[in-house]
Amino acid sequence: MNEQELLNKIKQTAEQEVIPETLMPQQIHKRLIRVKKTRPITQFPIKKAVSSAAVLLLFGVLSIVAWKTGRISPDKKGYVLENDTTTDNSVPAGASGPQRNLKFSPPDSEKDETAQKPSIEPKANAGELYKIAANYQEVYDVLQSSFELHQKYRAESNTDGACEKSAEDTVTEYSKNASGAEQKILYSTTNLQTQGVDESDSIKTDGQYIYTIAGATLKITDTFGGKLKPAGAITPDLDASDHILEFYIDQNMLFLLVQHYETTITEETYYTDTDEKSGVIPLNSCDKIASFDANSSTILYTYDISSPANPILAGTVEQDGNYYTSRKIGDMIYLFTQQGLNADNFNGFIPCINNEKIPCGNIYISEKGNEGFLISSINVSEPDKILDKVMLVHNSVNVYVTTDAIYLYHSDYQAADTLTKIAKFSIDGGIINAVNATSVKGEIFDTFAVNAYQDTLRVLTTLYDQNGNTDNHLYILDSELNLIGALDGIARGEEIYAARYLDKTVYFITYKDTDPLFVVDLSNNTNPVVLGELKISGFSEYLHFWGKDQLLGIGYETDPDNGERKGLKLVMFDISNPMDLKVIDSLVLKDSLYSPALYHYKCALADPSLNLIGFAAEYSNNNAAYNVYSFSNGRFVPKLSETLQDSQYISYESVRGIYIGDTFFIVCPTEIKSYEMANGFRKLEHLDLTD
Amino acid sequence: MNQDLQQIKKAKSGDTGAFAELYRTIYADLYRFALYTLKNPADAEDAVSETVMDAFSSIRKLRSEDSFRPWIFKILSVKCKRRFLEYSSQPDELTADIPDGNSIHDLAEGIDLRTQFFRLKNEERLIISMHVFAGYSSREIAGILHMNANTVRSKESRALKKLLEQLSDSDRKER
Repeated sequence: MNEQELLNKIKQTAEQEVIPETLMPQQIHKRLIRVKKTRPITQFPIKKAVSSAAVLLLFGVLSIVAWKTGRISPDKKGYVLENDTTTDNSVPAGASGPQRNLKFSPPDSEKDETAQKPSIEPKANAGELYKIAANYQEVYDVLQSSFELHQKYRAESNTDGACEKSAEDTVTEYSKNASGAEQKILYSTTNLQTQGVDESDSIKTDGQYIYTIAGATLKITDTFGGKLKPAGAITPDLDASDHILEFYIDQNMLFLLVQHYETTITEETYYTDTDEKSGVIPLNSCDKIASFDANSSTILYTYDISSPANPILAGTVEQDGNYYTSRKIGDMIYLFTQQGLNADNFNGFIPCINNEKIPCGNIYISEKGNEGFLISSINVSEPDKILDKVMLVHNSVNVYVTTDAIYLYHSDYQAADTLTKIAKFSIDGGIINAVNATSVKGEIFDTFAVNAYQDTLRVLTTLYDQNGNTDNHLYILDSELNLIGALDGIARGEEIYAARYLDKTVYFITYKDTDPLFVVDLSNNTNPVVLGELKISGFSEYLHFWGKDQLLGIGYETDPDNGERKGLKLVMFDISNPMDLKVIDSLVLKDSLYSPALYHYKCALADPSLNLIGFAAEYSNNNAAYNVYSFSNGRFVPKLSETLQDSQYISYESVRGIYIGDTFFIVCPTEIKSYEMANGFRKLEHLDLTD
Repeated sequence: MNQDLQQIKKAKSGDTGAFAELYRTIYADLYRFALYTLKNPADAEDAVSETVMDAFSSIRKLRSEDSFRPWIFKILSVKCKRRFLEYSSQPDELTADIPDGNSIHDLAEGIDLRTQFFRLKNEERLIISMHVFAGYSSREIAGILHMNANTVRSKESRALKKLLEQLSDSDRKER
């Protein structure tokens, strides 16, 4: 069965479902008549704020959920909702109520802000792609035209901030033992996309302590002396719907990211149930409906953890929007959030960072968009301050960050050939400024397909033509994003699955029926050359360099005849001679279905210096295990396979394998287990984190 | 003139019959969408019910050149997504208690497919439902879910492959 057949099958199967009586068109019609009758013609109910006056709803409504309160009847079907609660004429309730429907006029305070805080230097345009707004009105005009282009349902809001993450090189670091001893201990760090650009995660270690996000608390566990001992906890002041996202650690400082929702509840009266006589069964026995307005922001808390038992809050910054991602480069943290710019409300809403409206000189507009993409920089020595900030009015961009630039890219489907549009922003000393923008043919399908090296940016794309045929391209751009070299027509008919750049060479996997590993020499920027190609069965989704001459692939084995997947597969390539690529060993995990390491690089442990390959895998019998392998004498050798508890609370994506010195740990939000590596991964200790 | 456009025009002026007529063309798919996304018949019923009432009260905002179908499915998609958030804040898993379908024939295979489909993650079910029942393209899904279209495509493809694996596996067990 292919995918299309499966989709058809799903459709057919669903057609067997019995549609509930209450949803039949005639029933619905009856309810519509009733709703229409009982509702006053003026459809703008007066809101009665029942929320605390302290709750300030400063910004546009991000999301609206209406639910029924005071429901008397236990009959679930008596559920009639009128959600027209934010029509343009709704009256803000009280001084603290939503002001979102006011026409925009720049308040005095805002002029003061800009006077007090002039931008460090005027922001440059990002080529033709993003231009600095001359004033807020230009921003609203973009929102307005986007709105008209694409009628936006007002309740739509919550963005998937956290869904787009990628991962890379596990860096093994020497560090001073946190306990002060001079001995050097090896410990694992988060698998990163770019060396030198740190990424937040939900589990980290500093060589002595293991830090784990466990629900609403960050737990600190001391591993000193081979024991697992609770050493402290950080519990930020969270509202009910807030949650801890991820964190960074840097020596004695811990940077905690929290998603915060500002909520107000308003209650309104719609109509009373007076329509009994018509013979229609009463569908709704209540006359009050509460609506829930949420406005999200991302908060960065900085803690001094010199004493883990007693963490001290050192600073806080807050940025509107849902968390998208963040990076830490040296002392600088870059925070990326997405804020819906409410289309019902596009005159008067500009998001804030640290309670300051983003000045128009820091706002980039493109042709259209109804989302704000906010970027700020924070110097960790001043954890209460925003050093610089920009906002792009644009929907859905991907982020690639190097030590000196932020690249934002997205696919543009408007032209005959799909384009990838790329904008480059320099981040010199935390100051964010546009360099240029460009576009190349095709789409970037793998996080690692884009890579900056010296003064160039290399991009691998896959292009689908009108007939669904594919072609792959490699582009080399200079520091101003001018095209200097290209290689077209690679692996026609296939798609790029995984890529890795090593200095002046790129290795990538394309796949259709077999898995060719390509190697391309990039040493001549204007003339990249395919050096070699190796076809094997299956395909790799994640690549990781294993020393200088070897490349580890994690993916699937497939049947070369029909493409059927036969389980997860590890493969080690010999890349010492690019003209003669070889497979040293491969191993298929029996009955395995999926590993989060394939698509979330932070879930993969690949450390050639300690000879450790670790990842969680799910199996067809519904079990899951964390597996550790080593690669010795040209063979993958199983070291550990620890069954993971099937828990509805824990996704296997949140499991990490880490090591400190000779001890290996499997860490998840509910527990930590330790193993003695030198002694055949003998189980040592277990600590429950749920207490 | 397109009949739909006429109905939309009437519905916008408050004609409940015209609205019901528009609804008639899509209600089954709305329910299937909600059931396959939310797994729970009562929740699906509620979600569709809310969607219809919302749509009726805001159809004035529907521009006639916009098609009714993608518009109302967008409302439903957002409602389903919001329910996921509510689910995630509830400790207990909502178990699907699904009554059997209409016909007794060919049910074994169908029930297995549904069972396996329900084992997919929330987001995976939502994306496939948006494709199968609402008829959205991956680009449209991307727009509604605030994702990259590539991500949508790869997530869907991955989910389908996972589903196929599960199906062939459960098939194997049966034999």
